[in-house]
Amino acid sequence: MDDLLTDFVAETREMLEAIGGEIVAWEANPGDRARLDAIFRFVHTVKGNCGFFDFPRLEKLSHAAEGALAEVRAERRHPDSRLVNAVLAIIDRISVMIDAIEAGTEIPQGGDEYLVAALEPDAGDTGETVAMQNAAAQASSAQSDATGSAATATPRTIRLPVELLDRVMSGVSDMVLARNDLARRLREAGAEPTLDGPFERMTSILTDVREAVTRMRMQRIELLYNALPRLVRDLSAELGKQVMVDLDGGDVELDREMIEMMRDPMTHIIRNAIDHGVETPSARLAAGKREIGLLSISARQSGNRITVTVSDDGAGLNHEKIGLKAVASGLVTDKELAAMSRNEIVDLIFEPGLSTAEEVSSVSGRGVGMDVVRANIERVGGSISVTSEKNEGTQFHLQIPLTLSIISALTVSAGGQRFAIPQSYVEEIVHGGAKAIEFSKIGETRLMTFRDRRTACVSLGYVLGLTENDVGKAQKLVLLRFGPTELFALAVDAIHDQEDLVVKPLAPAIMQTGFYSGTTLLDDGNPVLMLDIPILAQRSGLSIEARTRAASTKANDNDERSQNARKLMTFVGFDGRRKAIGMELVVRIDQVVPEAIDRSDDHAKVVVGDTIYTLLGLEPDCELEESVKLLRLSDSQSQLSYAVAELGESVEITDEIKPVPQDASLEGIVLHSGKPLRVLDGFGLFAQHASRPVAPDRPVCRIPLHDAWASRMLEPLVQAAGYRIADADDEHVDIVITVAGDSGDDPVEAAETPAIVLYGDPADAARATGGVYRYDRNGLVDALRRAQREKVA
Amino acid sequence: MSTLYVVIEIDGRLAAVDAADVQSVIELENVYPVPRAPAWVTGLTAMRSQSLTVIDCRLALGLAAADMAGERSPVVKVAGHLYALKVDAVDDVLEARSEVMPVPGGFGPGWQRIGQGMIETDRGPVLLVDVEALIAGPEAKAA
Repeated sequence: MDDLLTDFVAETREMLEAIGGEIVAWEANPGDRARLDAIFRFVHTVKGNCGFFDFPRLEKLSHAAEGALAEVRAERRHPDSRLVNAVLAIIDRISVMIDAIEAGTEIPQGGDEYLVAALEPDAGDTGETVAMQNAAAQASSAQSDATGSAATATPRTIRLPVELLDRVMSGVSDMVLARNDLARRLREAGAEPTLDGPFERMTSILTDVREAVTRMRMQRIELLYNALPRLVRDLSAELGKQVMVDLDGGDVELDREMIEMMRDPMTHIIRNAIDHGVETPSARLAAGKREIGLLSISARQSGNRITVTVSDDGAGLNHEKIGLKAVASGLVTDKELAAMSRNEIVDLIFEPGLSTAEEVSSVSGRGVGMDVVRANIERVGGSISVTSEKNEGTQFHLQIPLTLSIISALTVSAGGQRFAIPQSYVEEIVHGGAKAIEFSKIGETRLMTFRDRRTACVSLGYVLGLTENDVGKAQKLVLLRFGPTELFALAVDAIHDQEDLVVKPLAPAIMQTGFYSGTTLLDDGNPVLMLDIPILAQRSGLSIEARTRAASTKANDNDERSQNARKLMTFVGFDGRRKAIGMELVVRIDQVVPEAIDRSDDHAKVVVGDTIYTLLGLEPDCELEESVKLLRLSDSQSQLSYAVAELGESVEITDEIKPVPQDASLEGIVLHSGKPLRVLDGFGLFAQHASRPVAPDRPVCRIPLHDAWASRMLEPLVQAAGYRIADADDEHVDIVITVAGDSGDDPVEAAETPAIVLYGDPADAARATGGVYRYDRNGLVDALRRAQREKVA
Repeated sequence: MSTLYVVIEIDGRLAAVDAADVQSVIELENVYPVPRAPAWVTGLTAMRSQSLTVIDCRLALGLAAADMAGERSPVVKVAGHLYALKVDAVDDVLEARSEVMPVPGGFGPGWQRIGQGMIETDRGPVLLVDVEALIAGPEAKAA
């Protein structure tokens, strides 16, 4: 049985036990609203959980009971004793089924429909009675089974007050500190072989206990993540959007209660992100983004806090609209608004009574605003903040406290003081003196280029006011990552050690500075401050900028990964055919008026912005509508425009593309959704039409015609050297390459034309003037260069 | 009436802290400054595997800094956090000989915020310090 299922069974059991009393009380007094609610929550939860597993009968039962109870809650139905009995029978049946699931046996057959029917207001007494007896019989038989196999009936869990766990945890962490202290004293006292053995043993036991204790209350945030892909899928389907979800940091552990507490706020933020943040596929394409929106959720532990970041790459928050709304609802005055920064305005979304949605949609407009989300998070001592950039997306940062934590950290020093950095942020450590690193100064911002990646570089000493803003070769650089994509370099004077540290909360006066997330004692007994990396980055003004930069490197990774599946952009050409072109070539989509297109000569051109592009894709006599959609293609050096009659979607093709030798403009044809899709040969397009600056007087070189070796091997080489290959009807050429001994039918050149003769034997080549061995690549290139220089001279 | 008070000296004046609030009195050595922290937070120090926040009482009262702070420092616990109070001197532990009484005319700026009242001791009248107000620092006055 997998973990999820075990959890499900355990949770359901726990709830069954808990509501055991409620059921009895409700039976005694069916009008008791609190009991009714508790039972309703139970069947509702069971129903919800069933969705993950394939328990149709369980789901049907709980659904039926939920429906009936909802009627009662809405006061459309009076809870008579028959209804109470029917609900109780269903709960009994659920209990039997849970036992069966846990034991891995077949769920007892039949009888469900009677139970469901008994819930109906006008259920006949017969059906009901039958069902009751049936259920009762099964329950009792299950019980007798259970007594037979004691293992299943023995509870494997006990309930403990959380305070007790807290006490044990803080006791163990104090023990770790005392152990560290003792270790230091032992070291100072010199070797004591009689003590070392027991001390080692204590250390290893303590490590075990610490781990066990930590796990007692902690659960991986995965528990929260598990439900998210489904939620995102359902929401995006409902709203007609395409959203991909990227979950990171699922192994971060936090308090089980915290996970439960975060469920609602997270759901709300995700709903908002999909509903209001991510645009429709067409709007995204028009904005030059991939049509599939990306929702990234990441969790990091930092000191005694967990940072959960929910970020989307949607339209971003519209601060103008938020501002207007805030004024309209009396939150701020016009004057106050004018004095507010963009970020301050964006923060207004957390104020009560502000919803920017134009219309209340079924998804996010349920009257629960971000103010409630904030209130819920603050209730447990957390905080929430938002950053948003127009058209780039929105990030919500949730910070949730941990009462206690032991985390792995890197100790560094700056300005003569030591600090700790949570290991989870550390991506890489580089020495400032390394050759691969270049520093540059843009205004007051320091940048660092390392492995072709440019990141902002922040001096820790400077941020903390200890030193000048100097970032240099003498320093060490810690590349830090926070959130799924953000990256920056922190310059420190020295890097010491990596240790497991027990992080304790700081006094409020120090907490208020915002730079630290906690304090801890090192093995040598000295206190050290744990840096709060996201705040540090935020204070240095890095967040958004760094995010986009790192994001671009991430996109490249994706391309590499999906090499097998090619992404194509489909469209309908002006010839009415379905075509596609490699997504990697499409940089954006333009819309132009027909007047911007010049078709006066053979080569159509189009003006987009201030630039003229070669325009492809038009048919000679096609009619142009009011606006023409153009795909902007780029091979990273030059750009082309390709006119399309109709934009399609982006598709992933894993099938092989079948070549079509008859049509040189096509890479081939591939089947997609049962229809042929013509895939344009992007390479060919650029080879033929690229508006790369071409030297007008490119020298012409004649190479042997009709020679397979020449066209395959020689031609690219000669072209790379800056020559154009002569056609059969080129009368003048600048240089001719012939192959010795191959008289052939090549046109004879004028005698003064320089010539290179290729020999099959290096010895012959050395003897002849202008002779080159056919595989002497350098020699050939040299000879071509020489000829070119002579021509210019 | 047998409440014990730890008598300390701040800026040349005697003050008292409820002995029940004082965990211990330590020798202040190795204080690690906290960059960007408020001025009255001198830094962090360690006591028996725990870290303490060191509060400079003169600065916390809004008085001028002085170098004459003594070595010994009482440790108090407020809201779960341990603080070491940097004072001129730790004088004595005394029994109060009176109830806490108001002072006619108040205590004067700075002191007013942290003063709970006056108690009579063998050393004469002593100001009873509200430790929570003291560690909140001078800025809390505005609130």
